Amino acid sequence: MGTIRTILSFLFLIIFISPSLAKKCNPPSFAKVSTINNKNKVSDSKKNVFVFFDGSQSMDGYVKNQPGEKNIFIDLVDDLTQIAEIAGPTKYHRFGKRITPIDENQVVQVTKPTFYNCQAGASDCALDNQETRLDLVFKAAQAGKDSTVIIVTDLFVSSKHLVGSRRATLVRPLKDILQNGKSIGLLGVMSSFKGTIYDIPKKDGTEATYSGAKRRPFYVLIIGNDKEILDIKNKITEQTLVDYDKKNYKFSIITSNLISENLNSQKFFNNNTFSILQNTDLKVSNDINLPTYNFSISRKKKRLKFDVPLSKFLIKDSNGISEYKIVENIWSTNDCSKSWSKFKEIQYSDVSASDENLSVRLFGTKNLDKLFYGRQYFAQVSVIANKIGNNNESVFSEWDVEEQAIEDFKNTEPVDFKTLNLKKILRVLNSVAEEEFKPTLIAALNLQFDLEK
Amino acid sequence: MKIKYLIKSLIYPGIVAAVFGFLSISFSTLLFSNPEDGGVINFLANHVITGEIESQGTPFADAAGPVCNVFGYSVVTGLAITLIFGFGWVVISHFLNVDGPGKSKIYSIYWIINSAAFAGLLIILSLFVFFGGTTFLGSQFITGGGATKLTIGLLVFYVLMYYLIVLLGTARHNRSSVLLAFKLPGNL
Repeated sequence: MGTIRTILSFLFLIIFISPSLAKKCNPPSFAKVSTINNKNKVSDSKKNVFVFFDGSQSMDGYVKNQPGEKNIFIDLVDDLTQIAEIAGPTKYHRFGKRITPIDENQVVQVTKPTFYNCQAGASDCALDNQETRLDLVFKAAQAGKDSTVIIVTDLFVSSKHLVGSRRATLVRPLKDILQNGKSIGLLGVMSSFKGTIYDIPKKDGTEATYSGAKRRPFYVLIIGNDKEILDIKNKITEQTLVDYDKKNYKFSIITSNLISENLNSQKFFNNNTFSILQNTDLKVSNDINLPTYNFSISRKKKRLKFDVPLSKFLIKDSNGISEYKIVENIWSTNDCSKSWSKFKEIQYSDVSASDENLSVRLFGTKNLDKLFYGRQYFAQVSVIANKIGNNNESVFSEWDVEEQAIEDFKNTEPVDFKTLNLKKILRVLNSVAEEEFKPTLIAALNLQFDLEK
Repeated sequence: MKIKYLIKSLIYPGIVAAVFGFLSISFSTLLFSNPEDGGVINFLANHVITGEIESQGTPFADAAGPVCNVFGYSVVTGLAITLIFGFGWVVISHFLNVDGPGKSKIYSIYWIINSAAFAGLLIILSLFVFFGGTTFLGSQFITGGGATKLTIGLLVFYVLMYYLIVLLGTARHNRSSVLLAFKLPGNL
């Protein structure tokens, strides 16, 4: 009789009581994700600004008026000196084969053809102003750790300077610059040009010149903190380039600190982040802004999703992120008095990015309906920027010409001349940024939920 | 007179029901007691319960208990269905008039319908409890292959029990309607 009563009781329990955990268990013990932004803070104090002007002979074409074409170079140099001086105490230099300081009063000479002419003995001058030793400038920028560096150049660098030991001398200071949390802004501006372009490599190994170009891009490299770079770039575009056709200038930031501020620091997560969650109890830890959502959900809901504009966390005009990663840990239990069981295989969520938005689908790879209902789950999810992109190569590709192609390009007698090895230079910069890049947290959150049928 | 024959013909099916019922009740009692080891648990672990519990870190006991409950429920329900359909046919067979020529062939249709309904109900039961239903917590831990094995096991056991009941309990004048049962050895 007792056995029958036991069986009937079991039957009753099975049929009429649906399994659910009324209360939320204490979370499992796990290492909390640090949501503190490690980005170097921008100091409010004014920094030293070092401005370097490329003194190579090819540059003089930018300061001569070309009838029918707007000379933006002269305007930009004028405005740039003002912008630099507002940013902090400014020192000017000219560089070619070596770096030489320029007296403050002589800066106006930069916009005159005489600045690019030989002033001393002809042989010494020829060596000095036909070489663009960017590596020396980067080295100087590396030494001035707490300063902003602005370089004005035509960025005409031959292939031999981008391989072997010459490449290494270029890359070494760049690494230090990026390691110190600094970035490199590259503003390219198409300007009128009336001069001779030297050192154009030919297929037979000799070099040629070209004087037929009416327009040619020059570049302003800004080395400093992201905010400083963007400030200077914005001032240039607001003052000098305000009426200039946007297709005539391009900008990109090369940085290993792509994330301006993670979503936790911005207090992005709130009760409305997940549209399908109703009556969610959201707790945010005060110290690290780590949200924990407590809720019950039917496995039929399948997944939780949130979208966030890239501009919310990604530095504008940067190289972008080519690979995102989700790091997740999941535990489950069916009894608060028992310990949590940790999942062995974790591939439940995924992340994807469009040009505008980042979409995070929690349980998007393996849906909630693959989990066992009648249990309580605790999921710790972090969205990570895993690999740096190379957006700037496509941004500047229009102005690039490779060494093998430049002779043929010259023979077409172009009016708009291109920059030799521009993409190669960008690749060097990008590779350094990629080496220095460390996977960075975009967002971290916890979910604690009862899964119902 | 019919009641007398009816009561008489319930003896052998009653013995069959008692033997199978005892096995069935014992087995379901074992299942409802949530055993932690033994042959049944080994069978469930190797043939029935999904390997997904391992990747989700779910302790085996969290799955084995609910699966035993589901299995036990289906054993008890299967027994009830078999008794209802088996003895139902035994009783009905005594009230079927097959005096007319060819009528026994017509009544064999009734037997087939009764048997098909019985087997169909067992299959529906299996589909309901083993194949991904959400009424029972344990159903979610059972693989497709495991559900098939449990279904076949239940069908073999209860179809055998049903057939023996109807074979031994059907009214003699109607035995021809029960397949293979027109003449039984030992003048049963």
